Amino acid sequence: MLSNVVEWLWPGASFGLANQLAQLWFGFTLLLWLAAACYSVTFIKRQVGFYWLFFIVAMSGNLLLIVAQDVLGFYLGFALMSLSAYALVIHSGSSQARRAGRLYLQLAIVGELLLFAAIVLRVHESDGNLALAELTMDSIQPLTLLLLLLGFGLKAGFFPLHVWLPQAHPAAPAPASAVLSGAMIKAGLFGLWVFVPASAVVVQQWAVVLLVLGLCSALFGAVIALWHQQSKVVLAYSSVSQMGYMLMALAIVWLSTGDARVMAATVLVGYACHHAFLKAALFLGAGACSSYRLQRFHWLAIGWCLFTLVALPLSSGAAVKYGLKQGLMAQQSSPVWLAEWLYGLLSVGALTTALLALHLWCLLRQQQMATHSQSMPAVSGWMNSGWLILVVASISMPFAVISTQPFWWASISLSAVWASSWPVLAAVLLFLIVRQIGWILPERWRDPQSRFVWLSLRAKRLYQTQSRAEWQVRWPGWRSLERQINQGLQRAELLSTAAVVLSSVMLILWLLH
Amino acid sequence: MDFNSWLPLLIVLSSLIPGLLIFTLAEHRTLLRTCLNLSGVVIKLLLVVWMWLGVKAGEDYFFQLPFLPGGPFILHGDALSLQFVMLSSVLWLATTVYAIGYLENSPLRSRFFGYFSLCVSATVGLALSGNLVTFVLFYELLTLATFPLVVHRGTPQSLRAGRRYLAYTISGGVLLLMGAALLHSVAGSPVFMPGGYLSAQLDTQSMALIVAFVLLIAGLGVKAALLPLHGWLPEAMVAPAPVSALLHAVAVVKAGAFGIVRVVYDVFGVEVMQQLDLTWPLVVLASSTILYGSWRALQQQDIKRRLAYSTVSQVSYVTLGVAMLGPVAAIGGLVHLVHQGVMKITLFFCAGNYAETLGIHKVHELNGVGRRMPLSSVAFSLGALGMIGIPPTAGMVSKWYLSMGALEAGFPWVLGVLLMSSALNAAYFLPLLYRIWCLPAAEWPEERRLSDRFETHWMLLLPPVLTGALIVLMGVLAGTDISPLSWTELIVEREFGYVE
Repeated sequence: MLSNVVEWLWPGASFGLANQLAQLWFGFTLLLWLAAACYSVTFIKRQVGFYWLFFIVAMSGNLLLIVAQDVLGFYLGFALMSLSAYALVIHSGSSQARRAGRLYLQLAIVGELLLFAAIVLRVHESDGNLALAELTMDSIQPLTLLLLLLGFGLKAGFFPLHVWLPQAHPAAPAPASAVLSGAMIKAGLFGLWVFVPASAVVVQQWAVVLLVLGLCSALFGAVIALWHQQSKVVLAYSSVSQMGYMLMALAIVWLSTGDARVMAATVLVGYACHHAFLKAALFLGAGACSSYRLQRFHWLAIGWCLFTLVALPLSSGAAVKYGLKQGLMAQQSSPVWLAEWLYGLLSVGALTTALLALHLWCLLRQQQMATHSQSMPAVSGWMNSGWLILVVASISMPFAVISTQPFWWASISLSAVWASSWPVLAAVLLFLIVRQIGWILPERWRDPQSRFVWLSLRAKRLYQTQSRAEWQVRWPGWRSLERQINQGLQRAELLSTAAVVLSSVMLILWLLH
Repeated sequence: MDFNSWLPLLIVLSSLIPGLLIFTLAEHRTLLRTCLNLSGVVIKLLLVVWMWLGVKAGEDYFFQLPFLPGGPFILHGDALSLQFVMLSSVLWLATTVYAIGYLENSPLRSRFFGYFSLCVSATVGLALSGNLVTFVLFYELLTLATFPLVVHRGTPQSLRAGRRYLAYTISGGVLLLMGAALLHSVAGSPVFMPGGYLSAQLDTQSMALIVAFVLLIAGLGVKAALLPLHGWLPEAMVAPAPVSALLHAVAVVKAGAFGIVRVVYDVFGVEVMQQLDLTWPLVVLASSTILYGSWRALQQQDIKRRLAYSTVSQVSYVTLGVAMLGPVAAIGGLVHLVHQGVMKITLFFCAGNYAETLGIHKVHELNGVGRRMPLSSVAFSLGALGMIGIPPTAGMVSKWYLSMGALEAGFPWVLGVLLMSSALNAAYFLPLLYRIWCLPAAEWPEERRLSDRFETHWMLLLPPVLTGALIVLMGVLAGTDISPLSWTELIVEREFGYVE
C-alpha cells in the first residue's frame, strides 16, 4: 500500500493509492484529463485564461480526491472539482449556459453541504479518525448513509438526482463535458465506494433498493434520451443511464462477500473506466460534429464508441456487462427472484441502450449534413490527438487492464455472444421497422423541458431579496426628554419645591422612626 | 521585577506612546507620523513574537500594580490572551498600512491615527488583562477610543451612527460593570484561571452567580453583537474602511467575543457552567444570532452593510463554539476568532478598495469589477469562500471543528444550524462573486486614478492581498506548528487538560 502522511498540511493529511483498483481509477482519470486538455488547445477560442485556470483547478481536485487517504483531503478535492466545474459549464456565456450553471451551482452547493454533514457524522461515528482506511471498518447510522447517498448522488447523477446533468452537459464546451461526464460524475461513485462500509447491516438492507434504483435509472435515462433531438442532451441522458448500471455494480459490491466482492469491485472499476473512455470520446465527437468537417476515420471512431456502448462482443463493454451479470447472480444477499428479474431486465436495458445508440448516430449524421460545407474547418491535430488517445484507450482496454481480462475472454464465448447480441439485433429490427413505416416523433413530444430550470429560478428569487428596513428598537425620544428635563431644572421655583420635598421626606422618616 | 513581568506592559505601551505622541503632531508632519505609526507596529509585533515563543516554551508573564482594594491591575500573558494579541498585532500592521494609503491627503489625520493607536492599545490591554477588574477597565477604554473613529467623517449619518454606538456600548459597559462588581463582592477579583474561581461559592450563592452571568453576557453581548443587541454594528459601517475593518475583525466585536470566552472558561469555568445549567441558553442565543445575521445579510444591497450583518452571524460562531463547553467545540470557536478576523478584514479592505477606486457601494454596481481590479477581487473571493467554509480556506477548518465539537458535546442540532448558515452564506456571497467575475462591466460610479502601475494605490492593495493569502495558508497549513489551529489546540490543552 502506497500511503504517505504529510505532517505540514492540514490535520491528518496523507496521500497514496490504496490498491490496484484505485490505481486504475487514478490512471483513467488522468488519461481523460490529458485527452480533454489536448482537445481544448485549439477548440477553446474565447476566455482562454479563465478556461485553463478552472480546468486545471478542477483537474487537481479530481486527482486529489482519488489520491487523498484522509477525509479532509478528499473533501478538499471534491469541493475544488465541483465548484470550479461551474466555471467550465458557463464558459460559453450564453443565457442557456448561465441557466444551466445556476442549477448546477445550486445543486453543487447543496450537495457539498449534505456531504459535509455526512462526513462529519461519519468521522464522529468512528471516534474522530481522519484516515479513510479506518472508516470502512465501522458500522454506519441510517442518517449518515442517507446523507452520503444524497451528497454523492447529486454528483454521480443517477435517477432521481440527475436533474442538473442534462442541462449542464450540453451547455459546457465539448472537452469540459467530456471530463464532466467521464471523470467528475464518477467521483460521486468513487466517494460512495470509499465512504460506505460494505458490511454494515444498514448498507446490506439499502443495497437491494439501490440495485433496483440503479436499473430504473438505466432504463429511464435511455428511454428519455430517445425524446431528445440534441446530440449532447442524448449523451447526457446516456450518462444517467450508464451511471445506473454503475450504481448496480456498486450495490453488487456491497451485497457480495469474499472473493465475489473482489470480483464485483473489479467490475465496478472496469465499468467506470470503460464508460469514461467511450463517453468522453463521444462528447468530443459531438463537439466536433457541429462545427468541423469530419473525415471517414472520425466516423469510424464514433462508430466504435457506439459499438462499445451497446456492449457488442470484442469490446470492453461486453466484458464489463458480462461481469455485471455474473456478479448479480453470484451475490446471495438479495432474494433470488429479484436477481433473476433484474437479470432479465438487463437485456431490456441493453435493447434501450442500442436504440439510444442508433438515435444518436442518426442525430450526429444529420448534424454534420445540416452544417456540412467545404468552408468548414478541418479537425485540427490537437483535437485529433485528444480523440485518438481516448479511442485507442477504449479499444485496448480489455488487453491493457489485466483485471478485467477474464470477463473479456468469457464474453466471447458463444452463449455470451448471443446474450449480448440479441437485444441489439432486436433494436436494429425495431429501428428499421419504425423507419419503414415512416413514423417520426410528433413535434410536441420532442425535447421535453425540465421543470428544474424554472424551479432553480424560483429558488434564486427566494434568496435574492431586496433591501428591507430592519425592525428597530424604538428609543424613547432621549433628546427631547433630556431637553425637557434641562428646562425643568432651570425654573426658579425649583429650589423652593426641592426644599419642601426634602423637608417633608425627612419629617416622614423621623416620624416613622 | 525582571523583564518577563514588564513585557505585557511594554506590549500595551508600544502602541499607547506613539498614539499619544501622534496627537501632538501638526497635521502636515506626514513622514514623522508614518514613522511613529510603523515603528509602534513593528516594535509591538516583535515583542508579541517574543512573548509568543516564551509562552510556547512555558514561560509566565505577569505584571501587577495595586489598583482597587482586592482588585489589583494585572496584565498576564497566557496562551489564550496571546491568541488575541497576536491576531490584533498582525492585523493592526495590515490596517495601519491600509489606513495610511486610505487617508492620504485627507484632513484630521493626527486625530485619526492617535485614536487608532489608542484603540489597539485598549484591545491589546483587554487581551492581556489578568482579572475581571482590569478587563472592565480596558473594555470601557476601548469604547471611548473607538467612538471618534466611528464618527471620523463627521457627516450627519456618521454622527447618528456614533450616537447609536455610544448608547449601545455605554449601556453594555454599565451592565458589565454591574456584573463585575457583583462578582467582586461575591468572590473578589483573582487572576483568571482555567476552570474558573467560583466553585467555592457555587452552593451558597448560586442565584448571585446566575445574575452576574446574565449581566456579564449582556454587557459583553453588546460588543459581540448577540441577537437583540446587534443594532449598532450595521450602522457603524459608515465609518472609514480601515475603521470598519478593524472594528469588525479585531477591535470591538472580537473584544466582546473574547470577553465571553474569558467569562465562560476562566471566571465561571466548565463545571460551574454545567452545574448552573447556563450552557444551553447561550448556545440557543448564539445559534439564533448566526441564522438571523445571515438572513439579514441576504437582504442588504449595500456591500458594507451586507458584510456587517455577516459579521453579526460569524462572530457568534465563536460564542457558539465556546458555549458548547466541549474541547473540540472550543477549538472550533477559538480558532474562528482568528480565522474570522483575517477573512473579514480582507473583505472590508476589498470593499474599501472598490469604494475608493471606483466609487462602488452597492451590490449591483459590482458587475465586471474582476477584470478592472483582479487582485482585490481575488482576495475578496477568497474571503467570501472562506466565510462559506469552502476548502481549502481557513473557514473550512473552523466549521469542521465546530461541527465535530457539536456532535461531541451533544448538540447534534447545531450541525443543522451550521449547515443552514453555510447555505445562507453561499446565497449572499456567491451572487457577489458571480457579478464580479461573470457579468460584463458597466460604467463605474466614480472612478479615481490612484496608481499608474497597479489597479489601485499599492498601500490599499498590499494588505488585502497578504491577508487573502493568509486565508488559504491558514487552511492548507492548518496542521503545522505555527498555524492558529495548533496554537488553539495548545490553549485548549491548557484549559481543559485535553490532548487530541
